[in-house]
Amino acid sequence: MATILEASGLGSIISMIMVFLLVFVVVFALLKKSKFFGGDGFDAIIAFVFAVFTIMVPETQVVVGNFLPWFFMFLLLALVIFMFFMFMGVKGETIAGLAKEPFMQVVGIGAIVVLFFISMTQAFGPFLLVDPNAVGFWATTKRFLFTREFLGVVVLFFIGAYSITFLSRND
Amino acid sequence: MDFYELLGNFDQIGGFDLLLPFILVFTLVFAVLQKINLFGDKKNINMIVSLVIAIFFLNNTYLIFVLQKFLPNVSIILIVFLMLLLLVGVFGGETDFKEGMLGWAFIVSLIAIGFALFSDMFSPVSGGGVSDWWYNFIGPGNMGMAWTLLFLAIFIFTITRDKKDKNEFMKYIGKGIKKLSK
Repeated sequence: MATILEASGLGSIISMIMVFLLVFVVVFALLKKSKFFGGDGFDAIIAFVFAVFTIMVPETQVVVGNFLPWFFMFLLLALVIFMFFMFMGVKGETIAGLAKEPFMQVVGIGAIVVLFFISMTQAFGPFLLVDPNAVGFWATTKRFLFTREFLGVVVLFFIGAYSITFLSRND
Repeated sequence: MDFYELLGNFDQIGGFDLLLPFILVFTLVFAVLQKINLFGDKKNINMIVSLVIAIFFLNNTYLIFVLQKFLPNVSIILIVFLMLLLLVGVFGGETDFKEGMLGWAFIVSLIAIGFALFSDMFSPVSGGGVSDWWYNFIGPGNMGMAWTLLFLAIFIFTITRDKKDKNEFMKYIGKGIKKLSK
């Protein structure tokens, strides 16, 4: 089934305009809120430059276009889970407290990072894939990070840290 | 024109595929942005961000499909819960969720959401869903391992549980949720 943007025949144009609008509005709003440069004119010019630079890279449209819908699904899922909790009798204050808990925030941020990486992969291909013959800074870094020795040490550290916490805590 | 025809026309002009998902996404994102006040008290900025997210959402046909399957499932489960609470209300009067019940509510809610999301989601073409996956996963080759894990879990639970209170685990989860809210 053709999507609404494909059916209109203006898919790439609308997609570009939407990405431009999003980047411009978000950067402008954040600059205005932080009052970093003082005036609206400066904020608008900087936001405009940001937005133009963003749409000059075609892959950003793929990243944004893939990331935003999945992010909304994640948001909807969280909202429905909270709705179920409230329906089952959990109070609203409890839910608010739960959402502020560091563990929940880590889960949320982790999910967003994963979604972002998936979107990046759809735009740039398997950019995290390790190529044993490639040269250069990123290729060497990836070869170092994604080895079984390095990842094994990281997992070992996690297990050790959790074991120390678990054994040393008081009931 | 009867209601069937009316709904048929609404479907044909893209009401279920485009209009309703757009309204849902736009409204939810706008409401959340208004509530968290991320960009200050600026309705127009929130409106543009919501519009962009809603239009990009419409461009993803798979997610529209998932949404169309997920929301009715949620509604059905909510109705089932409502009937359950009505039955409890008939026999028990006003419900008061103590710590143990809060833990049960947590577990039941998670299972319900998992069912609502995964029952149709992962096999949109074959229509198999999670039940097919589960059937294939616990096939003859894995049956022995599944039983071993189950018995192991029961064994560990039996050995390590505190006999003073049989409902300790659910109370523990309920206490955790109450503690998080403080």
